[in-house]
This record gives sequence, structure tokens and C-alpha cells, in this order.
Amino acid sequence: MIMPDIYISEHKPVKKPLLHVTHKHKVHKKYPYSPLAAFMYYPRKADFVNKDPEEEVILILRRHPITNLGWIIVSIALLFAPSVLKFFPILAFLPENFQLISVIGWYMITTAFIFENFLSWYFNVNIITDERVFDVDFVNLIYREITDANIDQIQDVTVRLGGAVRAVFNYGDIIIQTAAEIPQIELQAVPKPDRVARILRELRVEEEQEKIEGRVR
Amino acid sequence: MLASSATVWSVAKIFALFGLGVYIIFAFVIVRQVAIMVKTLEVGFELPIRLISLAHLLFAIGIFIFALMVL
Repeated sequence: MIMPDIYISEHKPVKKPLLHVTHKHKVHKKYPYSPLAAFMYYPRKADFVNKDPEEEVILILRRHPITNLGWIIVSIALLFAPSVLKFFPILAFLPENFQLISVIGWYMITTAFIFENFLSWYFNVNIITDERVFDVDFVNLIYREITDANIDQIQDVTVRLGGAVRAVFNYGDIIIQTAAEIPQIELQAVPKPDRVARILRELRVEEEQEKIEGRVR
Repeated sequence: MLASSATVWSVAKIFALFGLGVYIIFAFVIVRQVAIMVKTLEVGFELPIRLISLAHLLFAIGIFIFALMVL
């Protein structure tokens, strides 16, 4: 005997959560957030010029911190240079007030050198969102260049990792060939390049999936 | 002899003040640069960077005034 149905629920197709949405919660639980990190996976606070309101930032990359070693060593040398004056009094011919201003001026230039290098590292970033890849370059004091390409325009991703230092600290270049107007975007000296390439691959697969399912924004 | 020595240091003072004046302009450019950079990218460390650039500018102005008094 077939029992009659009392209630038949409306059939709702189960929507698979997007890959990056499930990742996001795991990452936020696992890692503490630092705005000074070189590899920021799902940054908790991220906003940039030209960002679409519904666009989500997946990854922000800076050059690996070890690439700053050169200017840090120079800065330390610059900071300690005035103490050498005790042993080699090259400013002794100047009156005392001029000596004082010279030393203060030296420290001012050193401060500017350190600050400029820090700014260059901090703001020259690569941003990967769920829709696009950005390369933000500040070439000099006030010249800004932003290159972007859609994820679905990416044709090829090459990871270039060579040299002892890069192998030890696990950083390298990623070259992204695109079908956009700018044919190539280069992410230079980024940490964990293999992981970045994998994230890009996942995003491309997801973008393809969205196209097939007609969820394209 | 004494008068020519005083003239030399007066010229040196003008050069030093000119250099410090140029540095104030440079410090101001850095403040503007930071403003542009912060508009470009915001990840949560903007306030300290802005404060450092402003402190640097104020320091440059302070040193200029100090040099004006001691030189």
C-alpha cells in the first residue's frame, strides 16, 4: 500500500559554497592578522582604489621581507656613522654649532632614507581578488602605476624560483600571461610562490565554474 | 682677517638654511606621497604611517627654526 504524502517540501537546489568562502573562515581562525605581513591571505581589512563593492580580496602580496636586508644594513651603517666622528674628527674644522646642525641633518637624511624604503616596500603590492589581479607600483615619490587583469583572462602562470637565497627563504617571481591589453603581470620576489600559483589556479577553476553556472558578475 | 672669517660662516649659514629649507619641501612631498599611497591601499596600518610622515615634517620645520637660532 502506498502512503499518501502529507507534505512535499519545495525542491531547492543545494548551492555549493564558493571555494574561497570556506577557506576564508579557516584562515581567519588559524592565523593572527598583521598588516605588515608580506603574504596576507584573506586580509581582514583590505581596501584599495578601483575596488568593486562586491569584489573580495583573496591575497595581498609584498616582496619577501628578506629583500629589505640591503637597505636595512645601509641604514644601520648610516645611523652609526656620526659616532665614527669621535675617532675621525673630520668636522673639527667647523664651529660647534655647525657641527651640531651637520649631525642633525645627517640623521634627518637617514630618517628619510629609512622611511622612503619602508614606504616602497609597504605600498608596492600585488593584490589578488576573486575577480582580478592587480600590480601596484610606486615608481618614485609621486608616480603611481596600477596594472590589472581579470582572472578569466589569465592564460598562463609561471613560477620562477632560482638562487640559494630564494630557495632558502622560499620566495620567487610569478609571471602571469594574460589576454588583457597588458599581456604580462609580474609579481616580484613574493613569498610562497607555489602557493600563490595554486591559489590563482583555484580562482581560475572557480571562475570557469561560475561561467558554466551563469553566476558571472 | 676676522671679518672675512665671519663672512665665510655667514655664507655657510645661508647654505645650511637653504639646505634645510629644501628638506622641508621634501618632507612635505613625503606627506603628500603618503596621502596618495594610503588612498591607494588600506590594510590597517595607515594611521601610524601618516603620523610618522607628519612628525617628520614637523621635525624638519623644528630643525630649520633651531638652525636659524643657533647658527
